[in-house]
This record gives sequence, C-alpha cells and structure tokens, in this order.
Amino acid sequence: MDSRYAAKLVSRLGEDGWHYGGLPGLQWEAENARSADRSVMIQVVEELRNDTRFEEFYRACINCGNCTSMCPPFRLVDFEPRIVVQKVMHAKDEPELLYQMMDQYIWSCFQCYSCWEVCPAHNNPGGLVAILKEIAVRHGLPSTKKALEPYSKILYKIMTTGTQITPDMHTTVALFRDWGPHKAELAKDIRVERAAVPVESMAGVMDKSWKVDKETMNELMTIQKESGVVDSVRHTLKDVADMVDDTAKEAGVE
Amino acid sequence: MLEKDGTVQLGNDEKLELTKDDAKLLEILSSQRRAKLAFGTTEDYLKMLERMKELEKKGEIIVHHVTEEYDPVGVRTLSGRVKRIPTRETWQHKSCGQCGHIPGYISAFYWIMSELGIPYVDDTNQTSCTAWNYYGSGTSNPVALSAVFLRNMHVAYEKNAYPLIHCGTSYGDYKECRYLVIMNRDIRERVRAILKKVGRELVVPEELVHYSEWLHVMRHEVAARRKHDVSNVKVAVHAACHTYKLMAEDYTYDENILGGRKPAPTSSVALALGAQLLDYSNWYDCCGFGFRHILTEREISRSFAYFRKIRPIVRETHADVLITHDTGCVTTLDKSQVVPLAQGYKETIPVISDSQFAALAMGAHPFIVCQLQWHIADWKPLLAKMGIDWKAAYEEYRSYLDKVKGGMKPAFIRSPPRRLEPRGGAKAFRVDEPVMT
Repeated sequence: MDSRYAAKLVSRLGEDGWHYGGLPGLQWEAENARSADRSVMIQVVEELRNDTRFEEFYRACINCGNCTSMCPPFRLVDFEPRIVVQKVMHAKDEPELLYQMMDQYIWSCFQCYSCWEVCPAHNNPGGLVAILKEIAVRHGLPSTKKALEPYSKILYKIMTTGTQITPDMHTTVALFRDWGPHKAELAKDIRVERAAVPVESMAGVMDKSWKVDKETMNELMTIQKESGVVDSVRHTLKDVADMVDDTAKEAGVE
Repeated sequence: MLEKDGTVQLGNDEKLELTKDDAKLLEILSSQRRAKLAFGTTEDYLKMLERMKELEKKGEIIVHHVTEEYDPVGVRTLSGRVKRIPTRETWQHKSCGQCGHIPGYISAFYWIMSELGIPYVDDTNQTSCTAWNYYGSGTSNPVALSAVFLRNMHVAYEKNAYPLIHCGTSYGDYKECRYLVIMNRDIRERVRAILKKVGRELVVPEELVHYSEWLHVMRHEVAARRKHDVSNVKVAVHAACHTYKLMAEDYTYDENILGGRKPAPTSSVALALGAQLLDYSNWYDCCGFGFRHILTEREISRSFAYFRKIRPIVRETHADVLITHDTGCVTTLDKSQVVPLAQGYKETIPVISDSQFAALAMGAHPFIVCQLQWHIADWKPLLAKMGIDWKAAYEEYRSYLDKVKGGMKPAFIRSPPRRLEPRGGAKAFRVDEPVMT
C-alpha cells in the first residue's frame, strides 16, 4: 500500500480510531458526503430522529451482524443492514456518516425485513432505510431522482389509480424484456387474453389492475394531497407531482 | 424538549439550564416516553391489541370484529395468541400485481370459494395499499398509508364483509399502519381528519388476515374436493417475507406443520392435498423481488432469485413445483429463470401460487381459470404429473379465446348469494359491463 493511500485511509478514521461502516476502501460515498451541505446533513439526522417510527426502529446495536447474515442484497452488492444501524447510532455526532448512505447506499435495500426479524435488540434496519428513503425524497437528492425516475410512471399510477403493474405494460416487449420470448407471445394477443379473464372486475381492464371506481380514485388522490405526499414527491420528481395535480384537477379533486 | 444548548423550555420565557448528566438523563427518559409504539415485541403487540379495545370503548374508533357471521376458525399465531380467521362473507382486498399480471392467482382463488359455496365480495371500490411507494420508493408517508388502509377497511365495513388481504406486502403494511393508528394519537387524528374529508370513519379490523391463512383453515374442505391425485407431486414452498417477517407475531404457525418452526400456511395446503412437501436449506431467503430492483435493477433480483432460491431448491429437492403465497414472489421466482436458462443453466421449476395449485388439484381449468399461460417456467411436466391433459386443455382455451374475440362474454366466476346485507348507507356491490380499455 502506498503511503498516500494509507494516509487517506487513516484520515477517514473517526477520532476513536474506528471507521464506522465497513472497509474504508468501500466508502467512496464518504467523499460525496464531505462535499455536501452540512446543514442538510444535520437536518437529515434531525428528521430521522424526530420521525414517529424512529424510537421503535432503532434501539441499540450490539454489532452482532445477524441482520447482515440474513440480508439478500448483501450477497450481491455493497449493502449491510448492520452498517445502516451503526451509522444511525453515530449520526447525531457525525451526521456525515448518515449522509453517506443517503446518496445511493439505502436504495440497495430490498425491504424484505429479514434483518428486523432476526435482530436480538429489536432494531429494524429495513424500517430505518424506509424512513431515510422518505427523507431523501423530501430533500430531492439528485441520486434519489436517478433512482426513482425509471419508474415514475408506476409512481404516478399508484398515486392516481391505486394500482400499479398493469396489463398495458405488457403490450410491448420493451419493458421486462428479460422475460424472453414468452413476453412477445403474451404481448401478441394480450387484449383478448385479458378480456377472457373470468373475473368481472378484471376482465378487459388494461390500464389498471382492476376496474377502479372513479370516486375511489378521487378519494385516493385526496389522501395523497392532504397527507403531503404530492408535495413531498415534488422535490424529487416534479413532473410526476404536476401530473398528479393535473389528474386530480381534471377529476374535480380540490 | 431539550434544546441544543442543554436547556429546557419551561414556560413562555422561562428556561432551565441542566447539567450534562441531567440533560442526558432527560433525553433518555423522553426517548423512553416516545418509544410507545413498540413494534417488534410480542408483549407490546398484545398491548396494542388491548389498546385497540380501549379506543373502541372510548368511541374513538370502530372495530370491525370477526363475528360469528363470518364463521371464524381459530389459528395459533407466532405470538401464541389465537387469531380468528373469517371463512365467509370476506371482502377481497385484491393485489395490484396479482391482478395486473398473474390473473390466475385471483381467478383460481375466487373459483375455489365459488366451488365451496362460500360467498365473498369483489369490490371495484378498492385501491391497493399503495405501499409500493413506501417500501420501494419512499414516496409516501405513515399518514397517507394509514389513510389508504383505513379507507379500504371502511369500505369493507360498509359492505358488511370482512377484509381478506391478498398481497403479502399489503398485509405487512397494514399491520404497520394499524400499529401506528392505534398507538400514535397524532397519526390517528391526522388520518381521521383526512378520512373525514372523504366521508369515512376510522374502522380498524380486529384481525388482519392474509388469504393464505384463509386457505390454510379451509385446506381440508379444499382437499375433500380434490379431483387429481397429487401424492406423487413433490412440492417446495417459498414463504413471503412480508407475511411472516414484517411484524412476525401475527402470522399463523402450527406445531403439526413443519414442527411449528416455519409458517404453516401454504405448506399445510400442500400436505392436506396429499402432496410431498420438501424442505430446503435456503428456505428463509427472500425471493429477490426488492421492489425497486425488480423494475430497475433486474440483474440483482434475477441473480438472487436464481442462484439463492431456484437453483438450490431444484438441486436439493428435485421438486415438481414451487408454491408461494405472494405477488412479488411468484413474479420474481418465475420470470427470473429465463436468462439463466438462456445462459445454459439447467435448473428450472414452475412457480405458482397456493391458490392455483389447490384449484388445479380440485379440477379447475389450467388456462381459463388458473391462467397458467401467464407463467413462464415450464408447467407442462407438473400438469402431466397431476394427470391433467394440458394439450387438450390448451386447445379448449384457444377456442375459448376465439369465442371471446368474437364477442362472447366470459363465464365469470361468481360469488354464491350473500347472507349479509351491506350496512346502512353503503351501496351494494356493483359491476358494470367489462370494458376493453
């Protein structure tokens, strides 16, 4: 190891000589956090700690690693629920530790909650990630926009119709192309296939998962607006929020 | 509230300065005070159920009870508590993913209820839980999710039918939301205000019930109607994370099924039907769905699904079918086999829901009712082993499709007549003519 690299690693250590959050070599996000706005970092920590769910999802980490041993993404990518809890634990004193994860790290979580079930201290790392994702969306972090943009159509559908993956997404091969030739086969006659489904609420419905009443969608859009969801999404995906607003307006939702 | 400078605001202009130790103690105490939701421990889960009763008594909420009208059957949950599973007059809380691209999941389930003569309500006044935007995207919040939850629950209450939740994620999300609404006054009041705006009240179900629990308690009735011998069919089961890991206390366990060490539903159905249930080492692993990943990081979903689930399952069990009880699991485990097979890997196994497997065993049409044509991994060997002439059935399906194309209305699966009337003010269930949108 050359001395400059060694010095760089040492510079990343905390005052107590520990580097919280895995191997220093994996911590490229630390650099991003260094250049970020410190007031935002502090705000992120405060929002996390003030969330209703925080005191329940975080208790105290004993660093046993049970959560990581059960974590699916850990098998494939740089993500460990243990690190999430450790960084949350030290976030008040070192907000940049938490902020490091906001960039991309948290988006690796599968939200399967295997970590929650096995934690002897009743921490819920998946739940903490869910809160952090909401904060990332509220702050409109660029990486969040990048993570969500590819499926903004689905976000819009959920907010306005309450359903998501719909048969019309199977009319072309483009989406889900790794389903192979079967996808092309399915796409060929999908309208008839769908019309033949022997459930009345589903038959022939292509743009939703089932036939949703107009009043039902209006109630849903009211909920999305009144609960602050649309405003929160606006920080990250302005187009989606605008489209939801337009759809609500057209439907007469105040 | 402890300020950053170590002071506490007492009155309008009065502040008290604390020593460092006292400030620390105050913070610990206030933190303990805030920690009243208590997700994650059996004791506190039971406390939440008690709190629900108190709120009902005070008139703050309406509790939708699993009354005798719903013919409930008791099951043991992980908490040790007996949970009452309604068996009839259920309000079908559909899953957006199932209805969207695994339609046989639902049609098979409705077909079973219809065959058993059990009335149900399939409502168009329903939204999904919208929890994709919670677990997948962070584009929701607890108030919105709880309001969506209680809106749907209020509709079920109006229809006088007990909610039966099809999706594992909706089931898990609703357990979280119920917790928040019961244990947190702030969220409860904010949700109440929103529901008032849409003309609804706070109706909280006494029990949150997943459809796999319904199938579990009805398994002997299902088995009694079995038309195909499945005793030579080897079955592996994948249990969905959001049914049994997310607030684990409330899902069904049975000491006679897998020694009570794993959830009972679905495995119990395979056993009741007489199939050979096989265990495997990676049983606990998730399917790889990952919400965001199944859409935009598909290599991760696919790799996990194939190399941590499909391949070990096939190698260890040589099972004929992998049965599961959730939307994402069927999707991920089924669709993720295409690319590895194209790359030359050999292990493959059909993936279907417990409802489809049970309906097939009961003699349901594999394509018109069970809609297996939407599934990718090869189901033909399974059908052959079950003694189902899939070639003839497929011909029938093609001819059925031609008739539908020519304007024939499908023979819809219908609920038998209901015993219960909708509660005052609620509209009776309405289905308009199906439309080609």
